[in-house]
Amino acid sequence: MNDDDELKGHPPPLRPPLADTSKPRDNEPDNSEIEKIKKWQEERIARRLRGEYESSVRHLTEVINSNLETPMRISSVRVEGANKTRPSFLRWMLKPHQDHFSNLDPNEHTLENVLKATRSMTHSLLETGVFTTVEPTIEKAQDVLANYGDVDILLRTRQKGRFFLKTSTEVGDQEGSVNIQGRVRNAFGGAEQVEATLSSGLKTRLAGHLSLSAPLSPNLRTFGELSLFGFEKDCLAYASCMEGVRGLRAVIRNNSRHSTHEFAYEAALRHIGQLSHTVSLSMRESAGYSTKSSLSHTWMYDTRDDKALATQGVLLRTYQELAGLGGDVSFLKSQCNFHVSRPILSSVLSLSCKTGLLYPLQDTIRPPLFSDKFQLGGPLDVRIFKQNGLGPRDNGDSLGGDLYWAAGLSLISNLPVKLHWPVKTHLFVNAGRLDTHTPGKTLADNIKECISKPSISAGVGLLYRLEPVRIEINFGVPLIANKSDGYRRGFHLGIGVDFL
Amino acid sequence: MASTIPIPVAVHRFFAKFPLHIYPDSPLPQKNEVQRPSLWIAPPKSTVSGSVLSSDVECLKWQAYIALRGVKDLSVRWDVTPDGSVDGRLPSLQTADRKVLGARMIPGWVDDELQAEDDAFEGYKDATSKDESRAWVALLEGIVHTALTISKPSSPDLKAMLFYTPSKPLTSTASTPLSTHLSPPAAPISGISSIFPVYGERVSQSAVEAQYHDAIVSLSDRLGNDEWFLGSSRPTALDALAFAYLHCLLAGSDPVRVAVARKVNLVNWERRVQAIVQASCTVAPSS
Repeated sequence: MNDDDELKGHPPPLRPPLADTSKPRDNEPDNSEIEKIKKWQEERIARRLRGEYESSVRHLTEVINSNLETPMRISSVRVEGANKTRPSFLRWMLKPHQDHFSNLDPNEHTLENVLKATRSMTHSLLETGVFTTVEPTIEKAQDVLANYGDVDILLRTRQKGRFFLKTSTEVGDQEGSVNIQGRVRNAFGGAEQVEATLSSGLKTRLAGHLSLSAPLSPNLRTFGELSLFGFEKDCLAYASCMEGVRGLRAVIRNNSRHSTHEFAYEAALRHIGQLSHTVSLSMRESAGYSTKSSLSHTWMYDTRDDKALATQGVLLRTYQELAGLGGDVSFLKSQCNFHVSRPILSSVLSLSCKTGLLYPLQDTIRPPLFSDKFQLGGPLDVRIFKQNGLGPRDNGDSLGGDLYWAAGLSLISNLPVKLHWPVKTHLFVNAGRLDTHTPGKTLADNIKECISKPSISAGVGLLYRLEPVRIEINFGVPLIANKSDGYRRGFHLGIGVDFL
Repeated sequence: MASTIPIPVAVHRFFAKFPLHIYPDSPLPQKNEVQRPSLWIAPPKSTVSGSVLSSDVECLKWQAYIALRGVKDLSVRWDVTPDGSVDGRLPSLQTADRKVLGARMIPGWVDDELQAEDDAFEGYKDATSKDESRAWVALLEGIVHTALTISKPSSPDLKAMLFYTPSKPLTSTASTPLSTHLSPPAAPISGISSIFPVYGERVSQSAVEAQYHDAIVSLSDRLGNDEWFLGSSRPTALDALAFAYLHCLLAGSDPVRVAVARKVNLVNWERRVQAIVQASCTVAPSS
């Protein structure tokens, strides 16, 4: 096409399709090869469109950049398409952004800050999870009282569907389950979410969960959640009983980039029952109902690049629980997890530690019960030892403990000749111990004894990252063990996320 | 079935070396220290007066049985729930060697403890008395048990409802239907031509009360001024059963209590046996 003709306003001449328009530098194929010519033409059109788009963007950017300092004020913000969302919620969400703009120095009421405010509003609305798309537009202010330079921000939205139903089969943390999950999004027009889940698994035979969650702050970093839950857990393999829990939980959760705080209140009715015929005397004594009313705080700082198989980053998690605000158990429970991974040469060195203490506050109520006690051992923590195989045991039943620690050092490397394979090799050493408070001894003495007599295991294995879990096949032996510990020399399979 | 994969000898030898060191056993909580047999029972109605007699008739029956047979050093505890008992029902017996026996195993255990020889008459004076005892047992566990159950107001068990799962068997004695104690069994609440599944029990309270009063009169007449029922020279299983029911009836509500309280010989006999049973049981430290 002749550019001069276009500039003069003459219509471009008609040309037959696939006409020869070649120039020597274009390398147009020969006329006899139709398919090649067609492809060549398509590529040329795409190249031209891309060039036009890029030049338009560049041109727009130049226009904006050269006018960033143009005085401009936000007259109003309008949201279109949010017909199932409460206007009060939208005002609550967008007001901080408007206020932020209004509080700027009048000299800073410029196009640049209007664009920033528009971007943050768009981002906020998308973050609620209510909208599929939010398309912002800056328009001339519609208000008759608007001054010169006032603009309206128009946010055209498209809401997500409100109802969601999913069935799934999940495998992880030594557990397989089938789930059905229903969700009502934006249930009351304020980004509230009502969710119901029913699942049945190998360990947790039956579980149900009904929750209502809603944002508590316009920046969407703080959420509140109220839930009813219940489950039946199969503990027959290690404690010859079934454990049932029904409860109510209220949570306030605050998320930031790497850390999460969670304050929770939980009231639960627990039941240990359906004992097997071979149950121990200790577990018979633990059977029955108990109630718990507790406050807890969880803090997690996580910079790992992958939750199941991190190559670098740190995880620090603390959990404190105070029970005894009603109910018939009274204790202070404290747990701490630490994990660090660092690349070393072509491998990854991973160090994990975790510890916990359960301290009864009033002996007159009830001592810590089976449901509250810690369990330790298994492929996810101290490998080579059986699932919950550490600590005091009575006739094969793991009774749980009040005090534990565990540590693991792993060296994860690529396969020697297949560096690109997702399967890695794994060399590990694990140690840990689970104890109960020995009457007549001080807490310090109990801790000292717990640390000084660790059960230790070591081995090698292969691990594979199968989203979202990690699968391990290990071969190992116990190096040091307690007489009551349950262990198995040889091969072990581990499936889960939180490995030691 | 045992593992069918043979382990090579070299691997076996390698495995045998591990663990390299073994620490002694972790101690179990003190609660498990058992020095003497203890009977797990439902708690007494009130522990303020120092009573160790269970408020549950089934538990009291076995408590009295053991005591009247003359077993020494028996302790009772009520901190173990029915869920922890054998078959999910109290009572259960914890032996000195940490075994737990169900109620039906108690007579055998008592025989072993006392090294009792086989008695063809089971403690009764002759075969006729032994046969007659069966009729009295049927009367006590039938109409008297029904009257006692009806006299107790029952409220729905919220916990059991919360923890209901279709696969869970019935474990509570409270859930035992009255039909198992009545002959003929009670008719269901739903009619024979009802479209609803059969549910509930239709028990005539007035009929039960009339039969109950007759039963108490008969029991009183049969005891007379004897030391033990059916003229036995020593206490029998029937005496344990009769004591359990009389004690619970006297501690029950007025409709059932008055019928027994009018019979002086029954009240005096119950007090005498109560003293024996109370004296022979001590409370385990864990309770």
